[in-house]
Amino acid sequence: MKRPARLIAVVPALWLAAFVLVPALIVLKISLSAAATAQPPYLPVLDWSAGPVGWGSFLEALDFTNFETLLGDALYRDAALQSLWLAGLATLILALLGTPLAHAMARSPARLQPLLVALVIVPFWTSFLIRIYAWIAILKPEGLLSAALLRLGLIDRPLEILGTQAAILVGLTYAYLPFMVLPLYAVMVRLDPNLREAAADLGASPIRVFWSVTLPLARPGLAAGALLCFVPMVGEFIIPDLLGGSDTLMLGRVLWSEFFSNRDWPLASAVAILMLALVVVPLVLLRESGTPDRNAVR
Amino acid sequence: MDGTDPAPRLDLEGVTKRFGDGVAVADVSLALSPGEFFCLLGPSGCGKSTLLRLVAGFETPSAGLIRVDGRDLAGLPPHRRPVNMMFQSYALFPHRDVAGNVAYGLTNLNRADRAGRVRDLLARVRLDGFGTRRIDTLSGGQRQRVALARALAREPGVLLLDEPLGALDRGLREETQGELRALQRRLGITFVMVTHAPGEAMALADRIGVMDRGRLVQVGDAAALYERPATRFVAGLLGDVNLIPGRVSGRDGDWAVVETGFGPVRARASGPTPGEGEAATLVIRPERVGLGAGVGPAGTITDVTFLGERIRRQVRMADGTLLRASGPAGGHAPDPHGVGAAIRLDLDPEACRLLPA
Amino acid sequence: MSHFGRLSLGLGLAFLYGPILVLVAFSFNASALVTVWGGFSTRWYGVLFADGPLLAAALVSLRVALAAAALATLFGTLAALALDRGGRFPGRSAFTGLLYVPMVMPEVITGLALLLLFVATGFERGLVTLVVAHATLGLGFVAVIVGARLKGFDRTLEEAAADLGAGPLRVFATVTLPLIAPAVAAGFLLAFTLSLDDLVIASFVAGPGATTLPMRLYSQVRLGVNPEINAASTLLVGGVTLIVLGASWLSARGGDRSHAGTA
Repeated sequence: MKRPARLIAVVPALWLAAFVLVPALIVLKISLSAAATAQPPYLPVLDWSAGPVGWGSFLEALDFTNFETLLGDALYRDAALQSLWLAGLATLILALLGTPLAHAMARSPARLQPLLVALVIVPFWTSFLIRIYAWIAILKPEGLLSAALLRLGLIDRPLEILGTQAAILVGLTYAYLPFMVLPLYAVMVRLDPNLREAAADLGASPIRVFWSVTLPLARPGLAAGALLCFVPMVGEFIIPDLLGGSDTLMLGRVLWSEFFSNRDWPLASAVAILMLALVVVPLVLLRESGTPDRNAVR
Repeated sequence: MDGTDPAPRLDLEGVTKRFGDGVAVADVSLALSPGEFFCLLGPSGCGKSTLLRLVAGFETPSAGLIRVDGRDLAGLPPHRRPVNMMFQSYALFPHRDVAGNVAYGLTNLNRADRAGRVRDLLARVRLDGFGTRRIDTLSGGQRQRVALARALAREPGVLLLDEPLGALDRGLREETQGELRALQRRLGITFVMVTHAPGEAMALADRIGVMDRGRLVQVGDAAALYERPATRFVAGLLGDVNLIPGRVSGRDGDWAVVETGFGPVRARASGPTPGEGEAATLVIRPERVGLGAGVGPAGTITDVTFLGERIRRQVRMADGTLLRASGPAGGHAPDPHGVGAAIRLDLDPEACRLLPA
Repeated sequence: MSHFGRLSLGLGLAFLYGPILVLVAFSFNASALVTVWGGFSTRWYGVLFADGPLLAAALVSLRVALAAAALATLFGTLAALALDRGGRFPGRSAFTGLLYVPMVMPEVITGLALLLLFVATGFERGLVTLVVAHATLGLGFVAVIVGARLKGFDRTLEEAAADLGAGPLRVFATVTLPLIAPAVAAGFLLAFTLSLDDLVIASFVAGPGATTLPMRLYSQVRLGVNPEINAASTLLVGGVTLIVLGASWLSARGGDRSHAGTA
């Protein structure tokens, strides 16, 4: 049974090599080529037929100008910092909102739980673009939120939220909430209820039970949720593009405009590599902090 | 083994299975005759299920031969083997109804013959009319019988049963034992059943093979294993037993005298047993420990437990050794052997057996 | 459940569904203004169904999503089977890594990388590149869903089938496949909606020839709130809701009761 199973892996493995691995290497290569040679229509920089000689000249031709540009220019530095800052802040907000929600789901009557899970999943399956678009109608100065607050007399002139970092945070929180709630719920629902009962029996109040038992044991879910949210949020394009203003630059948007507006493919590739470096670090950290806990829950 | 059988139906020769560093089955040799009901008995992890899976073809032996009717099964995948298995979990296909499960192996028949055969099989396990029932609507006992019918469908030469009664309630288990035995008699198929329950093995099997840490330590009928255990492990597995340490002080053919803490005891010593001067274990079943006023070793009764049809007494010997003696509960007469009574043991040499220490 | 729990659930679900419900409500608004309720009307649906380019884009999206989901389901199921059954084969962890990368990778990177591949190999951009990109995106999700099902799979069922004389292919066709079918179907649906929903990757790899529905919607959304988009959104949300309900029905049915007797 094992041998045919391994043969089966060949087809998807070849597909993944061709459409995940090779493209990543191409991005890396192009990020290291000079803008002039890589401008479209662009030249095949690596000549495979030339063999080792070709490799040698290829290595000589490597060019770090793009990364120098990125790191030297305040615009890109700010975009990187802003991406990390907004994604980090949004992850924190998500953890604060997602934990009570996941906890409430896990403690709901068992027959309600499949419905609640489905209710959290449905928006995740619904068009991302449309869900973000919906917030424009709510957040814009003549939108629903301003109108409601004006009518209630809580504010005396329309809110200027759309186009700010606050709008991006609202969008990120909204779009990624299911990614935080579902892993948390998955861990919390499997926790042995006897543990909570034992803590309560030993005199812990509900709040202390949550802090001292539920939350520590749910840490793997929190780590998984943070990972699932943080990484794509750093590279998010639609949310800053539709909800953010011209002054909020996130890396995904920088990459997009370098590519589509400035047609600078090598620089866009360099942004991609920088973004990868930024997300790989927290990814590794989270994985390492998550692993021992995961074993403890089992 | 009882010698005069014709060619064996299932024949194992030096079968060994190693997993990494561990040995799950060690050098097992065994020959089963056609129509024999054989039980592999042992605690969990002793290798009995692995042995079954080796015969079925789910594992490959590291060494040794497995033959059915003289045909070597080496290299044959499970689906080409003339044996069938009844799984401990029953492994009934949840996406097929009862008839669909029973018919699964009957690919060689046409539709009409298959339907007839399924009906016969279901009737045989008293499930007439259950053909269209879903598996998840069946009780545990019904599932067990569907699994049995499905495994019998291909009329295997050997049926392997992995704890077939393990998932049933106690009452149902005893009732099913009888049915299983009757069915096996009627079909004349060789059954190899794995169980960890000695009572089940003794009630069902023509012969029992006891496995301990991968080895087949003794093969014989229930009485032989009970009365003449080859090791302390077998003795302890098949019921309560007194194990008394001692040293062989004299030997005379099949007889020996063992010097115990409370004096010399005469015992049967057949097979490879310790020689004179060597350490030994004296084995005697509690029901063979007689209490009397004769000349045997002296002791005091320290505890009496009423078990219904029997009474078990604990006896403290002069040297502090504790023995258990069990006898029929005696009618209305006042019990002469209450706690504190001084007694003499009556140890029948035929019931005392000498085993290695 | 505590009051706090009920409050969390209520607020959480309101937060998740509020904006969508606003869209749906205003798609039936006779007025073109968001804040003004001009009475119930289906006029925007009329506008929508008269919008030729939008409908053409929707057709492109559907075709791409069907093809991409089919490919992703095939390869994802194969990958899940290989990982579940293959033991520790060489390159296993690299294989797993490649499988998960498109799931967590920011979409701009995936899109850029695939585009550069297509340009480097001289592959003409269009429907085919869209299908390839979306199949790659969905593959990992299918593998995860099917893999979870295989992990809970009782292997003795396959052994029982083999014991009853079924060769490996018959075991797969009559036992394994019927029992993982709900997960395979759910994987297909997820890959389908991921493809239908994708804007970023599609924008990179589609090329001038092909415009998908999200690309078309995006170009209009950038111009501001538009009741026609609200109507399109309502239809999309309704469709996806149906798909999700179908998927959860499939997986509930697949719990242990699927495909009654095929004997």
